[in-house]
Amino acid sequence: MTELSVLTDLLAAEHAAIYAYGVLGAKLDEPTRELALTSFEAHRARRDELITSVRAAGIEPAGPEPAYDVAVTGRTAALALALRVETELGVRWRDLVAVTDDPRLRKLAVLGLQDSAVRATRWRTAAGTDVATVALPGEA
Amino acid sequence: MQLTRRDLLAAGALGALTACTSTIPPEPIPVDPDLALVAAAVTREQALLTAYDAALADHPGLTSLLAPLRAQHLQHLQRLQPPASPTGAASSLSTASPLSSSPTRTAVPTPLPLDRPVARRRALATLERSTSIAHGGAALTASRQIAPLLASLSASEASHVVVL
Repeated sequence: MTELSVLTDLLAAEHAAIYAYGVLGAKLDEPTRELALTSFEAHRARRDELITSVRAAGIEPAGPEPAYDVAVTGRTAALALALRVETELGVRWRDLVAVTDDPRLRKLAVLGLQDSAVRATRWRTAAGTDVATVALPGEA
Repeated sequence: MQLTRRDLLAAGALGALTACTSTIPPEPIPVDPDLALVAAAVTREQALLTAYDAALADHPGLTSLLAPLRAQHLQHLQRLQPPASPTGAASSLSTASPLSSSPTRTAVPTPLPLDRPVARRRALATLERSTSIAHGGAALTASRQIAPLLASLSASEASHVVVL
């Protein structure tokens, strides 16, 4: 893994997350829809930061795919998808921590991992999971 | 065998050489900056465990909420302090701050009125938040080897705040 490969992988994951939240939000009720909306906005902000970082590395950042395989049939599936999105992003943010010595990217990665862990906890809580936290977020 | 004068002179010269060699200042041993970061993280986790133990003792009704969080802090401590190798030599991380040492536990915000469960939960949340910030700060300066673990610990403590 190189810093640039992790950055581009993260950017692809953020594109997918934004698409996923756009789909799953429609299957949720209040207040989980509100959580989906704030998560959607948070991922857009992270996407923009990653685009800036990839450009700074001299690479033209890739855009989103036209569509993603995110079939959501109801509330339970929507909650599961949201949790999967945050869990997988957590792994990628942790990857970035492991491959960069750039202070700005390291900070971005630490905050990205924190945010994904917090959102994952909120989704587990919404799904009624007994223990909504994990000991080592981002660890694959 | 009787030593000759030549033997004694040679031995003396060798002794002098040894003496000269031993007076050369030893090379400074490079200090791994990660060790201090890990030691500080261990102290923070121990402070959290102490706070959770006190809360569990005072408020058994909070056990279902607090026991899983305490278990996760124990996992954190175990990751920061891996067990000694089969040869008995402890790893560099475990020698950073042995579990048996007496940590300074000034981080526990005990002055708050903790006789009510809601107050105790709030106090734990405050401690989790400050620990998350401290772990996160350490992850910014740590080496690539230890930074991911510190970042995960920071994220875990941040998520604990949510459920507290």
